[in-house]
Amino acid sequence: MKTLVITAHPMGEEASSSKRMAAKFVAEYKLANPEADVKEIDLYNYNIDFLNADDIAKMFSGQDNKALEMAKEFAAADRYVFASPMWNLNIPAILKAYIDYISYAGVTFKYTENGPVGLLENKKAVYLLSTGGFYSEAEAYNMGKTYLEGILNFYGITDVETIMLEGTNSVSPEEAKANEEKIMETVAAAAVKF
Amino acid sequence: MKLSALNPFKKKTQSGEKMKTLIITAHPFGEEGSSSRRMAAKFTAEYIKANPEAEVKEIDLYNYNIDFLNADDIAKMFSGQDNKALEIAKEFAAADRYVFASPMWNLSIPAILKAYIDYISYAGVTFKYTENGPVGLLSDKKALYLLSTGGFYSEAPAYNMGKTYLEGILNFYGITDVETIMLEGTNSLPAEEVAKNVETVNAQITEAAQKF
Repeated sequence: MKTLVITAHPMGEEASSSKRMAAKFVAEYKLANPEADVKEIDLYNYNIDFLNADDIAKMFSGQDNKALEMAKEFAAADRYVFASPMWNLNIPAILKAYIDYISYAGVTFKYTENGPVGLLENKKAVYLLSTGGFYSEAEAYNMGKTYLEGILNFYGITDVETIMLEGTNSVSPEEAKANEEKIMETVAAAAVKF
Repeated sequence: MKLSALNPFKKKTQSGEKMKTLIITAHPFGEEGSSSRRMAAKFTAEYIKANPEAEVKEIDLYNYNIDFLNADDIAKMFSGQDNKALEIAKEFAAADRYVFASPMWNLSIPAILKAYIDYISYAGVTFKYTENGPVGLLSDKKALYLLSTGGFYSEAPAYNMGKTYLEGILNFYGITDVETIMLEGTNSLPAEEVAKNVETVNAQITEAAQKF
Protein backbone atom coordinates (compact mmCIF):
# COMPACT_ATOMS: atom_id res chain seq x y z
CA MET A 1 0.00 0.00 0.00
CA LYS A 2 1.55 3.29 -1.10
CA THR A 3 0.55 6.40 0.77
CA LEU A 4 1.41 9.97 -0.15
CA VAL A 5 1.30 12.63 2.53
CA ILE A 6 1.14 16.01 0.83
CA THR A 7 1.63 19.15 2.93
CA ALA A 8 1.30 22.77 1.81
CA HIS A 9 2.62 25.22 4.37
CA PRO A 10 5.85 27.25 4.17
CA MET A 11 6.56 26.92 7.89
CA GLY A 12 7.42 23.94 10.04
CA GLU A 13 5.30 22.09 12.58
CA GLU A 14 5.93 24.67 15.29
CA ALA A 15 3.99 27.26 13.30
CA SER A 16 1.62 25.18 11.17
CA SER A 17 -1.29 23.31 12.68
CA SER A 18 -2.02 21.49 9.42
CA LYS A 19 1.56 20.16 9.46
CA ARG A 20 1.04 19.00 13.04
CA MET A 21 -2.14 17.24 11.95
CA ALA A 22 -0.18 15.54 9.15
CA ALA A 23 2.58 14.50 11.56
CA LYS A 24 0.03 13.03 13.96
CA PHE A 25 -1.68 11.19 11.13
CA VAL A 26 1.61 9.75 9.84
CA ALA A 27 2.73 8.61 13.29
CA GLU A 28 -0.57 6.84 13.99
CA TYR A 29 -0.81 5.42 10.51
CA LYS A 30 2.69 3.93 10.67
CA LEU A 31 1.99 2.50 14.08
CA ALA A 32 -1.13 0.79 12.73
CA ASN A 33 0.51 -0.16 9.42
CA PRO A 34 4.22 -0.78 9.98
CA GLU A 35 4.57 -2.20 6.47
CA ALA A 36 3.03 0.76 4.69
CA ASP A 37 5.11 2.62 2.12
CA VAL A 38 4.68 6.25 3.16
CA LYS A 39 6.14 9.14 1.19
CA GLU A 40 5.93 12.68 2.50
CA ILE A 41 5.75 15.45 -0.08
CA ASP A 42 6.36 18.90 1.33
CA LEU A 43 5.19 21.03 -1.60
CA TYR A 44 7.35 23.96 -0.49
CA ASN A 45 10.34 21.71 -1.01
CA TYR A 46 9.30 19.79 -4.10
CA ASN A 47 10.23 21.92 -7.06
CA ILE A 48 6.65 23.13 -7.60
CA ASP A 49 6.15 26.08 -9.91
CA PHE A 50 3.31 27.59 -11.87
CA LEU A 51 2.53 25.56 -14.97
CA ASN A 52 4.38 27.39 -17.74
CA ALA A 53 4.43 27.56 -21.52
CA ASP A 54 7.18 24.95 -21.80
CA ASP A 55 5.29 22.46 -19.57
CA ILE A 56 2.13 22.88 -21.63
CA ALA A 57 3.94 22.56 -24.95
CA LYS A 58 5.51 19.30 -23.75
CA MET A 59 2.18 18.03 -22.41
CA PHE A 60 0.49 18.50 -25.74
CA SER A 61 3.37 17.11 -27.79
CA GLY A 62 3.70 14.04 -25.55
CA GLN A 63 7.24 14.79 -24.33
CA ASP A 64 8.43 13.92 -20.84
CA ASN A 65 7.95 16.74 -18.42
CA LYS A 66 7.76 17.51 -14.72
CA ALA A 67 3.96 17.53 -14.61
CA LEU A 68 3.80 14.06 -16.18
CA GLU A 69 6.32 12.72 -13.72
CA MET A 70 4.38 14.11 -10.76
CA ALA A 71 1.04 12.94 -12.13
CA LYS A 72 2.42 9.42 -12.55
CA GLU A 73 3.81 9.38 -9.03
CA PHE A 74 0.40 10.51 -7.78
CA ALA A 75 -1.52 7.92 -9.81
CA ALA A 76 0.76 5.12 -8.56
CA ALA A 77 -0.25 5.68 -4.93
CA ASP A 78 -3.22 4.07 -3.19
CA ARG A 79 -3.86 6.46 -0.34
CA TYR A 80 -3.56 10.25 -0.14
CA VAL A 81 -3.29 12.54 2.82
CA PHE A 82 -3.50 16.26 2.08
CA ALA A 83 -2.75 18.75 4.81
CA SER A 84 -3.10 22.49 4.35
CA PRO A 85 -4.39 25.66 5.91
CA MET A 86 -7.27 27.60 4.41
CA TRP A 87 -5.78 30.71 2.87
CA ASN A 88 -8.21 33.36 1.74
CA LEU A 89 -11.17 30.98 1.61
CA ASN A 90 -9.37 28.42 -0.53
CA ILE A 91 -6.32 26.15 -0.74
CA PRO A 92 -2.84 27.75 -0.78
CA ALA A 93 -1.66 28.56 -4.31
CA ILE A 94 1.10 25.94 -4.14
CA LEU A 95 -1.45 23.17 -3.64
CA LYS A 96 -3.36 24.43 -6.68
CA ALA A 97 -0.06 24.44 -8.60
CA TYR A 98 0.44 20.78 -7.63
CA ILE A 99 -3.09 20.02 -8.83
CA ASP A 100 -2.32 21.81 -12.10
CA TYR A 101 0.60 19.34 -12.51
CA ILE A 102 -1.22 16.15 -11.54
CA SER A 103 -4.43 16.83 -13.49
CA TYR A 104 -2.92 15.13 -16.49
CA ALA A 105 -5.06 13.67 -19.28
CA GLY A 106 -4.27 9.99 -19.67
CA VAL A 107 -2.88 9.69 -16.13
CA THR A 108 -5.40 10.92 -13.55
CA PHE A 109 -8.34 11.38 -15.93
CA LYS A 110 -9.14 10.91 -19.59
CA TYR A 111 -11.34 12.59 -22.14
CA THR A 112 -14.20 10.57 -23.57
CA GLU A 113 -17.02 11.40 -25.94
CA ASN A 114 -19.16 12.06 -22.89
CA GLY A 115 -16.67 14.34 -21.21
CA PRO A 116 -13.77 13.72 -18.83
CA VAL A 117 -13.69 10.59 -16.68
CA GLY A 118 -11.47 9.86 -13.65
CA LEU A 119 -8.83 7.15 -13.95
CA LEU A 120 -8.11 6.52 -10.28
CA GLU A 121 -10.18 3.76 -8.74
CA ASN A 122 -10.17 2.03 -5.38
CA LYS A 123 -8.25 4.86 -3.79
CA LYS A 124 -8.94 6.82 -0.67
CA ALA A 125 -8.04 10.30 0.53
CA VAL A 126 -8.18 12.36 3.69
CA TYR A 127 -7.88 16.15 3.86
CA LEU A 128 -6.50 17.66 7.06
CA LEU A 129 -7.58 21.27 6.95
CA SER A 130 -6.90 24.02 9.47
CA THR A 131 -8.85 27.26 9.30
CA GLY A 132 -8.38 30.53 11.15
CA GLY A 133 -12.13 31.04 11.47
CA PHE A 134 -15.15 28.76 11.71
CA TYR A 135 -16.47 27.38 8.45
CA SER A 136 -18.19 24.07 9.16
CA GLU A 137 -21.45 25.98 9.46
CA ALA A 138 -20.65 28.32 6.56
CA GLU A 139 -19.83 25.78 3.88
CA ALA A 140 -20.20 28.21 1.00
CA TYR A 141 -17.04 29.96 2.24
CA ASN A 142 -15.09 26.76 2.69
CA MET A 143 -14.10 26.75 -0.96
CA GLY A 144 -10.81 24.88 -0.53
CA LYS A 145 -12.61 21.88 0.96
CA THR A 146 -15.23 21.93 -1.80
CA TYR A 147 -12.51 22.26 -4.40
CA LEU A 148 -10.11 19.60 -3.14
CA GLU A 149 -12.92 17.08 -2.65
CA GLY A 150 -14.30 18.01 -6.08
CA ILE A 151 -11.04 17.61 -7.99
CA LEU A 152 -10.28 14.28 -6.26
CA ASN A 153 -13.77 13.12 -7.29
CA PHE A 154 -12.91 14.24 -10.81
CA TYR A 155 -9.93 11.84 -10.75
CA GLY A 156 -12.26 9.06 -9.60
CA ILE A 157 -11.34 9.25 -5.90
CA THR A 158 -14.76 9.31 -4.29
CA ASP A 159 -13.82 8.18 -0.79
CA VAL A 160 -12.59 11.49 0.64
CA GLU A 161 -12.90 12.55 4.25
CA THR A 162 -12.04 16.01 5.53
CA ILE A 163 -11.02 16.66 9.12
CA MET A 164 -11.05 20.31 10.12
CA LEU A 165 -9.28 22.12 12.91
CA GLU A 166 -11.23 25.37 13.09
CA GLY A 167 -10.80 28.76 14.66
CA THR A 168 -7.01 28.66 15.03
CA ASN A 169 -6.88 32.49 14.81
CA SER A 170 -10.20 33.19 16.48
CA VAL A 171 -10.01 31.74 19.98
CA SER A 172 -7.66 32.09 22.95
CA PRO A 173 -4.45 30.02 22.86
CA GLU A 174 -5.85 27.75 25.58
CA GLU A 175 -9.01 27.08 23.63
CA ALA A 176 -7.03 26.55 20.44
CA LYS A 177 -4.88 24.02 22.25
CA ALA A 178 -7.94 22.21 23.62
CA ASN A 179 -9.53 22.15 20.14
CA GLU A 180 -6.34 20.82 18.63
CA GLU A 181 -6.07 18.05 21.22
CA LYS A 182 -9.62 17.01 20.48
CA ILE A 183 -9.10 17.03 16.71
CA MET A 184 -5.91 15.00 17.09
CA GLU A 185 -8.07 12.19 18.47
CA THR A 186 -10.19 12.33 15.31
CA VAL A 187 -7.01 12.36 13.22
CA ALA A 188 -5.63 9.34 15.09
CA ALA A 189 -8.88 7.42 14.65
CA ALA A 190 -8.93 8.19 10.91
CA ALA A 191 -5.29 7.09 10.58
CA VAL A 192 -5.91 3.74 12.24
CA LYS A 193 -8.71 2.80 9.84
CA PHE A 194 -7.18 4.44 6.73
CA MET B 1 -25.77 58.30 -27.04
CA LYS B 2 -26.66 58.56 -23.39
CA LEU B 3 -26.10 61.93 -21.82
CA SER B 4 -23.82 60.36 -19.22
CA ALA B 5 -21.46 59.35 -22.01
CA LEU B 6 -20.90 63.02 -22.76
CA ASN B 7 -20.04 63.89 -19.22
CA PRO B 8 -16.32 64.56 -19.15
CA PHE B 9 -16.20 63.79 -15.45
CA LYS B 10 -17.83 60.42 -15.81
CA LYS B 11 -14.61 58.47 -15.58
CA LYS B 12 -13.19 60.39 -12.71
CA THR B 13 -13.40 59.33 -9.12
CA GLN B 14 -15.23 61.46 -6.58
CA SER B 15 -12.01 63.16 -5.61
CA GLY B 16 -11.57 64.11 -9.27
CA GLU B 17 -8.66 61.78 -9.95
CA LYS B 18 -8.42 59.68 -13.05
CA MET B 19 -10.13 56.32 -12.87
CA LYS B 20 -7.50 53.63 -12.43
CA THR B 21 -8.12 50.29 -14.06
CA LEU B 22 -6.08 47.13 -13.59
CA ILE B 23 -6.21 44.41 -16.23
CA ILE B 24 -4.91 41.20 -14.66
CA THR B 25 -4.18 38.25 -16.94
CA ALA B 26 -3.16 34.73 -15.94
CA HIS B 27 -2.02 32.63 -18.87
CA PRO B 28 1.54 31.60 -19.77
CA PHE B 29 0.95 31.96 -23.52
CA GLY B 30 0.44 35.06 -25.60
CA GLU B 31 -2.77 36.03 -27.33
CA GLU B 32 -2.25 33.50 -30.12
CA GLY B 33 -2.46 30.64 -27.58
CA SER B 34 -4.89 32.06 -25.02
CA SER B 35 -8.52 32.94 -25.57
CA SER B 36 -8.79 34.67 -22.18
CA ARG B 37 -5.94 36.95 -23.24
CA ARG B 38 -7.75 37.75 -26.46
CA MET B 39 -10.82 38.58 -24.38
CA ALA B 40 -8.68 40.90 -22.23
CA ALA B 41 -7.19 42.55 -25.32
CA LYS B 42 -10.63 43.10 -26.80
CA PHE B 43 -11.87 44.59 -23.55
CA THR B 44 -8.85 46.87 -23.21
CA ALA B 45 -9.17 48.17 -26.76
CA GLU B 46 -12.88 48.92 -26.36
CA TYR B 47 -12.46 50.39 -22.92
CA ILE B 48 -9.68 52.74 -24.00
CA LYS B 49 -11.73 53.75 -27.04
CA ALA B 50 -14.68 54.63 -24.81
CA ASN B 51 -12.50 56.20 -22.10
CA PRO B 52 -9.43 57.74 -23.70
CA GLU B 53 -8.50 59.39 -20.40
CA ALA B 54 -8.62 56.25 -18.31
CA GLU B 55 -5.44 55.11 -16.66
CA VAL B 56 -5.10 51.45 -17.56
CA LYS B 57 -2.38 49.18 -16.24
CA GLU B 58 -1.96 45.67 -17.55
CA ILE B 59 -0.60 43.10 -15.13
CA ASP B 60 0.55 39.91 -16.78
CA LEU B 61 0.90 37.64 -13.74
CA TYR B 62 3.36 35.38 -15.56
CA ASN B 63 5.63 38.39 -15.83
CA TYR B 64 5.05 40.09 -12.50
CA ASN B 65 7.38 38.41 -10.05
CA ILE B 66 4.58 36.31 -8.53
CA ASP B 67 5.62 33.43 -6.32
CA PHE B 68 4.03 31.25 -3.65
CA LEU B 69 3.68 33.12 -0.38
CA ASN B 70 6.69 31.96 1.64
CA ALA B 71 7.88 31.96 5.24
CA ASP B 72 9.78 35.23 4.82
CA ASP B 73 6.71 37.00 3.34
CA ILE B 74 4.55 35.81 6.22
CA ALA B 75 7.08 36.77 8.89
CA LYS B 76 7.26 40.28 7.39
CA MET B 77 3.47 40.52 7.15
CA PHE B 78 3.03 39.75 10.81
CA SER B 79 5.87 41.96 11.98
CA GLY B 80 4.68 44.90 9.88
CA GLN B 81 7.76 45.11 7.65
CA ASP B 82 7.58 46.14 4.02
CA ASN B 83 7.21 43.20 1.72
CA LYS B 84 6.18 42.26 -1.80
CA ALA B 85 2.67 41.19 -0.82
CA LEU B 86 2.01 44.54 0.87
CA GLU B 87 3.23 46.43 -2.19
CA ILE B 88 1.06 44.40 -4.55
CA ALA B 89 -1.95 44.65 -2.21
CA LYS B 90 -1.59 48.44 -2.02
CA GLU B 91 -1.40 48.71 -5.78
CA PHE B 92 -4.57 46.64 -6.01
CA ALA B 93 -6.42 48.67 -3.39
CA ALA B 94 -5.50 51.94 -5.15
CA ALA B 95 -7.35 50.98 -8.33
CA ASP B 96 -11.03 51.66 -9.05
CA ARG B 97 -11.79 49.05 -11.66
CA TYR B 98 -10.54 45.48 -12.09
CA VAL B 99 -10.57 43.20 -15.08
CA PHE B 100 -9.44 39.62 -14.49
CA ALA B 101 -8.88 37.33 -17.45
CA SER B 102 -8.01 33.66 -17.06
CA PRO B 103 -8.77 30.20 -18.30
CA MET B 104 -10.43 27.61 -16.10
CA TRP B 105 -7.74 25.12 -15.18
CA ASN B 106 -8.89 21.95 -13.51
CA LEU B 107 -12.23 23.41 -12.42
CA SER B 108 -10.72 26.50 -10.80
CA ILE B 109 -8.43 29.47 -11.41
CA PRO B 110 -4.79 28.92 -12.46
CA ALA B 111 -2.46 28.61 -9.45
CA ILE B 112 -0.72 31.88 -10.32
CA LEU B 113 -3.97 33.81 -9.92
CA LYS B 114 -4.46 32.19 -6.50
CA ALA B 115 -0.88 33.20 -5.65
CA TYR B 116 -1.75 36.80 -6.59
CA ILE B 117 -4.82 36.60 -4.34
CA ASP B 118 -2.64 35.25 -1.54
CA TYR B 119 -0.56 38.45 -1.91
CA ILE B 120 -3.41 40.96 -2.16
CA SER B 121 -5.56 39.48 0.62
CA TYR B 122 -3.75 41.68 3.09
CA ALA B 123 -5.30 42.60 6.45
CA GLY B 124 -5.48 46.37 6.73
CA VAL B 125 -5.33 46.89 2.96
CA THR B 126 -8.06 44.91 1.21
CA PHE B 127 -9.93 43.75 4.34
CA LYS B 128 -9.70 44.12 8.08
CA TYR B 129 -10.48 42.00 11.07
CA THR B 130 -13.24 43.21 13.38
CA GLU B 131 -14.89 41.72 16.44
CA ASN B 132 -17.57 40.39 14.13
CA GLY B 133 -15.16 38.80 11.69
CA PRO B 134 -13.37 40.10 8.59
CA VAL B 135 -14.81 43.05 6.65
CA GLY B 136 -13.87 44.22 3.15
CA LEU B 137 -12.12 47.58 2.79
CA LEU B 138 -12.74 48.22 -0.90
CA SER B 139 -15.94 50.07 -1.66
CA ASP B 140 -17.31 51.77 -4.77
CA LYS B 141 -15.25 49.53 -7.00
CA LYS B 142 -16.24 47.31 -9.86
CA ALA B 143 -14.79 44.15 -11.37
CA LEU B 144 -15.19 42.05 -14.47
CA TYR B 145 -14.01 38.47 -14.89
CA LEU B 146 -13.29 37.25 -18.43
CA LEU B 147 -13.22 33.48 -18.18
CA SER B 148 -12.57 30.93 -20.88
CA THR B 149 -13.41 27.29 -20.29
CA GLY B 150 -12.62 24.20 -22.34
CA GLY B 151 -16.00 22.66 -21.56
CA PHE B 152 -19.47 23.99 -20.79
CA TYR B 153 -20.12 25.12 -17.25
CA SER B 154 -22.81 27.78 -17.29
CA GLU B 155 -25.36 25.05 -16.66
CA ALA B 156 -23.12 23.22 -14.20
CA PRO B 157 -22.16 26.04 -11.84
CA ALA B 158 -21.08 23.63 -9.09
CA TYR B 159 -18.07 22.74 -11.26
CA ASN B 160 -17.29 26.34 -12.13
CA MET B 161 -15.33 26.77 -8.93
CA GLY B 162 -12.96 29.43 -10.22
CA LYS B 163 -15.86 31.75 -10.99
CA THR B 164 -17.46 31.11 -7.59
CA TYR B 165 -14.13 31.68 -5.90
CA LEU B 166 -13.04 34.84 -7.70
CA GLU B 167 -16.45 36.45 -7.24
CA GLY B 168 -16.44 35.33 -3.60
CA ILE B 169 -13.01 36.68 -2.72
CA LEU B 170 -13.75 40.02 -4.45
CA ASN B 171 -16.95 40.21 -2.39
CA PHE B 172 -14.82 39.52 0.67
CA TYR B 173 -12.75 42.64 -0.17
CA GLY B 174 -16.00 44.63 -0.47
CA ILE B 175 -16.21 44.56 -4.28
CA THR B 176 -19.79 43.47 -4.78
CA ASP B 177 -20.29 44.67 -8.35
CA VAL B 178 -18.68 41.77 -10.21
CA GLU B 179 -19.73 40.51 -13.62
CA THR B 180 -18.36 37.39 -15.30
CA ILE B 181 -18.31 36.87 -19.06
CA MET B 182 -17.58 33.32 -20.15
CA LEU B 183 -16.30 31.94 -23.40
CA GLU B 184 -17.23 28.27 -23.12
CA GLY B 185 -16.34 25.09 -24.93
CA THR B 186 -13.01 26.23 -26.37
CA ASN B 187 -11.74 22.60 -26.36
CA SER B 188 -15.06 20.96 -27.10
CA LEU B 189 -16.18 22.36 -30.43
CA PRO B 190 -15.07 22.54 -34.06
CA ALA B 191 -13.09 25.68 -34.90
CA GLU B 192 -16.00 27.32 -36.80
CA GLU B 193 -18.32 27.05 -33.83
CA VAL B 194 -15.66 28.38 -31.49
CA ALA B 195 -15.17 31.35 -33.83
CA LYS B 196 -18.90 32.01 -33.76
CA ASN B 197 -18.98 31.89 -29.98
CA VAL B 198 -16.02 34.26 -29.85
CA GLU B 199 -18.00 36.77 -31.91
CA THR B 200 -20.97 36.56 -29.56
CA VAL B 201 -18.77 36.91 -26.51
CA ASN B 202 -16.83 39.79 -28.08
CA ALA B 203 -20.09 41.69 -28.46
CA GLN B 204 -20.75 41.16 -24.75
CA ILE B 205 -17.24 42.31 -23.93
CA THR B 206 -17.63 45.45 -26.03
CA GLU B 207 -20.86 46.31 -24.27
CA ALA B 208 -19.33 45.66 -20.85
CA ALA B 209 -16.27 47.78 -21.74
CA GLN B 210 -18.40 50.73 -22.80
CA LYS B 211 -20.34 50.87 -19.58
CA PHE B 212 -17.48 49.84 -17.28
